[in-house]
Amino acid sequence: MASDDPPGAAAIGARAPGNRGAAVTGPSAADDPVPGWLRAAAAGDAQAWDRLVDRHAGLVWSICRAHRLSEQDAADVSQLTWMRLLENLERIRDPSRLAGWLATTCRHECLAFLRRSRVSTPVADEHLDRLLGGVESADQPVLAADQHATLWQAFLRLSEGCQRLLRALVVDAEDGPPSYRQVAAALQVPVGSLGPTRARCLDQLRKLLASGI
Amino acid sequence: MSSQDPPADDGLDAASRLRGLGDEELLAALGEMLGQREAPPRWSVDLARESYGLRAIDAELAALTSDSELETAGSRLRADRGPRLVAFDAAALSVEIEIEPGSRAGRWRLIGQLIPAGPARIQVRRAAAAAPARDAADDLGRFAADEQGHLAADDLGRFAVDDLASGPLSLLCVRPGEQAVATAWITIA
Repeated sequence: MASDDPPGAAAIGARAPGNRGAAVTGPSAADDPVPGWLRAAAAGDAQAWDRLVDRHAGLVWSICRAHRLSEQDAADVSQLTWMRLLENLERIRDPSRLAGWLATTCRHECLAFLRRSRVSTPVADEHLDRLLGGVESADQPVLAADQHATLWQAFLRLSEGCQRLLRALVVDAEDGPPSYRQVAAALQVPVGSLGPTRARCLDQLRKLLASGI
Repeated sequence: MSSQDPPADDGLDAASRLRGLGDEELLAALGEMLGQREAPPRWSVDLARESYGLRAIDAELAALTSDSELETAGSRLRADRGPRLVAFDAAALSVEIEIEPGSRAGRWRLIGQLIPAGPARIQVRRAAAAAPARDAADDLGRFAADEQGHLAADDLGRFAVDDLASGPLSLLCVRPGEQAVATAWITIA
């Protein structure tokens, strides 16, 4: 590990101008526990490794599933992704971007797995994604597999507050997205703040997408 | 490929496509992403946690340098290909392996060659695949392995093992008087 303060940290911690409101003032990059866990795991702390796994298991799994791997295949590729991390624990250059490293590694292993298991002319990843995206037409996915992984990486680098807000806005309700009033009540913020906050969080997300994940 | 860098990816294209989405479209994309996020099965998370014990702390990593099944040169059917050939390189040792169907259906045979040639003790390390039961293999210490986890490479550096189940695998090569070398993990399937 080169440094505790990698070049990317400033960009990650940066807030859009005019950022205010308790709901979205998440921890700064300096409070990110991941680099500390990485260091501890590299130094032999099994509990730190467990925390790393618990925090990112959903990310790794969902990327496998976004590539339409069966449960068994997703388990193998997830496991391989974790082994990659294990063998590179001391070599992760930018610990604050572990989620991105895992997402990219996992995606690469998914594509390698699919190439190996497919009887076909090798195709570019993009084509493979399109091909795979078209397989399940039932619920017409908006996201190709590569976008899924990329969006995850950016989302995980948002402030905790933004993650909570966006999550609350798009999931949870049984019949459609919840109303602003429900979300405001759940997050204990004024209803009037949600619109502007939502816009700011989405802007933050776009900036992260632009920052070359 | 240097090992600390994630493999090259076309994430930038994906990022610019996502960045071009309007607020509502971006929210829809988030909704799909978060909605699709089924939790990983508990056993798979447990496996990932337990795999910490498979860390080869004192071993040098031999990076994957070639894998015939990932090479894009030919477009032959899988059945037409010969055995899968995989090579790993560390500073002072290369490991080449050939993977082919084993003597039992659904199992694999692995034939290997150490370069430079020489005797070694080789542990087949398995990240216990999905099977909930895994062999204790006490004599291998922390390394989970199947019953054939211990192999000997002969004086010419050759070794072979049969009856391997599908799943992630790495070889730990211990040569007399040398630093141990662990290959990068690969999946046999």
